[in-house]
Amino acid sequence: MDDLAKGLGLIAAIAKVFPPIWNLVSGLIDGDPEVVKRVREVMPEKHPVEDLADRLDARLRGGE
Amino acid sequence: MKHSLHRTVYACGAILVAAVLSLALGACKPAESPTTPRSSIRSTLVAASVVTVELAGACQTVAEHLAGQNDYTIDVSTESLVKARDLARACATAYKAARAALMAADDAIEAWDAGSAGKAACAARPAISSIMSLRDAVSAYAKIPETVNDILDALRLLAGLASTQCTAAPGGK
Repeated sequence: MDDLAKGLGLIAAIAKVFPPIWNLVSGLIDGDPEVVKRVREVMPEKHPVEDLADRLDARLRGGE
Repeated sequence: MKHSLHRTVYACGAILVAAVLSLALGACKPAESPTTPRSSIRSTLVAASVVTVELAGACQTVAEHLAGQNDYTIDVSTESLVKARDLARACATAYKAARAALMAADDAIEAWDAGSAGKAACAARPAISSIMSLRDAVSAYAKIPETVNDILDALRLLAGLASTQCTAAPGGK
């Protein structure tokens, strides 16, 4: 449990050491530190790059 | 011609990655520091999610350029199309794997209890290699901002918290 606490402290510390992360992370928090966006709000289930791969696949199969 | 196209793709990719991350960072406002382990972990997961989405977007742009989708005056070879398709497919696969891992980690801390941090750390671990795959795929064409590596470092720290729990868990998760 000590290791866990130490590790969590490190995560908080690295966020302060690296300003870009800190800016990004702090911007995701709306006042209350417990209110942070969830992963599913940020990541769509299907990224457009998947559609692109399918389209290119079809194009190659069709010999266009 | 081939080198010229490659240079154009590289330049577009570099500009895109830099612009998107600048926008993401610029839009952030200063806020209170996360003071709890739960919010620290969630912040790391969400930051990793943002980076994953942006890297996949950059990958998409590079693949579109390789496939000549933004310039119909370029005669695209089958070789370039295959390269574009393979790149897009690799990025889509990495995105899906990263999303699954980050969502599992996020779910692990939703009902916060004594074991949540360890479970989140284990669940987040596969996201590291997936995000690295995305980064490496894009880095052949665009300069990767240091922020991406910073966030990977934060994710490694999180994943490193629970190495023993992960090893002990059934299925190695």
